[in-house]
Amino acid sequence: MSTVTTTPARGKGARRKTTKAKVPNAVWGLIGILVFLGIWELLPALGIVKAEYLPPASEVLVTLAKDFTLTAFWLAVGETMLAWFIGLLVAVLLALVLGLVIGMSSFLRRATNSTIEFLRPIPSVALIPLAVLLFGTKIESSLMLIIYACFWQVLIQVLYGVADVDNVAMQTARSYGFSPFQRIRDVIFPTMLPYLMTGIRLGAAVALILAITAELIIGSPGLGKEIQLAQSGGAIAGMYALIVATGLLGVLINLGMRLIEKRILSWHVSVRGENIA
Amino acid sequence: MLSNSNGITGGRTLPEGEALLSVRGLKKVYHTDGGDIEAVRDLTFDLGRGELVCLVGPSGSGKTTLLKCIAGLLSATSGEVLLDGEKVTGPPKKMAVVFQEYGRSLFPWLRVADNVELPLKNAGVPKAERKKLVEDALDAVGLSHVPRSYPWQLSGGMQQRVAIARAVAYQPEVLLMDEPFAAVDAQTRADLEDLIRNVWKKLGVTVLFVTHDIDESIYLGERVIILSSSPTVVQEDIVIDLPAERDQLETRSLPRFTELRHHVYAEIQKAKQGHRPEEAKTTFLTNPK
Repeated sequence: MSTVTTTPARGKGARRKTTKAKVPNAVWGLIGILVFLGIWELLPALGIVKAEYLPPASEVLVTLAKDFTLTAFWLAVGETMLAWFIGLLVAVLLALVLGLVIGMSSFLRRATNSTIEFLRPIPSVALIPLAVLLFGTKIESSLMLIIYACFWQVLIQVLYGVADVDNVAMQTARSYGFSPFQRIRDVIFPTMLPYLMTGIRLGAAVALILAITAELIIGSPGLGKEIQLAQSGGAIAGMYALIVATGLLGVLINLGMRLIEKRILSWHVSVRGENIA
Repeated sequence: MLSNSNGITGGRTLPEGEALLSVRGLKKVYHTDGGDIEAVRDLTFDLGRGELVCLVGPSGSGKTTLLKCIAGLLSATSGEVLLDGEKVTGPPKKMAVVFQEYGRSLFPWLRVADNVELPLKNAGVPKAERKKLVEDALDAVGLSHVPRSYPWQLSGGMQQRVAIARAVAYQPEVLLMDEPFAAVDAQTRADLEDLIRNVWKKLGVTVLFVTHDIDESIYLGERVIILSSSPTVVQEDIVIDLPAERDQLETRSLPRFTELRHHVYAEIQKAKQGHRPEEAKTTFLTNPK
């Protein structure tokens, strides 16, 4: 009886709390950014850090705004995003196909488990010398690092997803005479989709890190290379502006991924929230 | 009319050619690390075309195992299941199964109508025909107003209705139900029982309904097969001679209903205590009236 009387009250309370918290969240976030920029502005102004090492925020932001008007800047962004996109796409496709094949066979799962656990922790940046040997400073170098790093992120998620297929759902599919292909398309793939999306979201962040890393260190074209050029050319404010630009790219990619996830997985518990029934 | 082959432990069997579904000497042993577990020892019975038969037994009596063997989802250790004279080796086309766990059996990523439509789509039924079948099936279970909802937006009873609609739309000759109402509340359960009686009458489908609920088996069935405790054999196979029109209040208050209930209850108690039938029995309880 007590649950009957307390449940609606608790529900109302929780709802009020979230609506109350939602508006200030955005405001608090904005205040946080402003405070951060303020401290950044003050550090060189007060002489705590030399302005030649850390130009004030205003100067960096103005440089960034100027960058936005330059074709060369957008070309660099385009190069980085191209490597990011192709790398992520290839990694996801490879991991999806291999993950489905391995995940559906208990023999293959057992046979590949130790190999996967050995190859997975190898940091992709350790492959930089090999990439340079194979591809020099071309975009392929970036791609190799990106694909290697993202592949494992996605593969592991796909394997978890395939393992999560519900027994009853599968028996239902079998009892209605679904062919093996129909079982993959209509039961295994949708079950795995939330895991795949998590893998892609993680992979997207990793892909950006490695795209910039490859450009910085190997010198393949893109924002990373521009950062390196700005630094060696003494354009310190320009360097910081490009670093901020990479950060903005990361934020945009994450937002985009969340949006896609929400669209595709509207039926899933993680998106739909509390059960209505 | 009723034949019972001499010496074979089992339920009612029909002359060759008359049975739609035949279970013959079915045995299922699970091989586990802890040794072999004999879930089903020796089951023999027949279902005639258009019958509504309930299977009851104490918990752990291998009811679900039996049903999965009949559905072609599990292979029997020995013995066989025949559908229309053909041996069942995999899930047959003419069969549909309604599982107890409706929440896991329905696909949460598909809307109600799409859930009902999917088996038809995969079976290659033309689109126009599919649409009609889905509409009729949803109508039959009283859910024609929520085709665009997702299953998880509905109550438990409604979700099980969707699963029943999916089975009905598939137009099976045999409908297998594995304790389909065990997880819904009592009122919903009564509604769903009447729904099954209606669907059965309207479509002329053959229904095998597994339950652990004695009252439910008598209220629903035209015949009740009582299973022994594990390792399972048929304990008794009785005909339910209640009026064809069943009503939750009236039927359940008939003296005959109470008698049948007592009888089945006593049999199950015996089964629980390890009593085993010496040989096959097909019993007509004499109607006192």
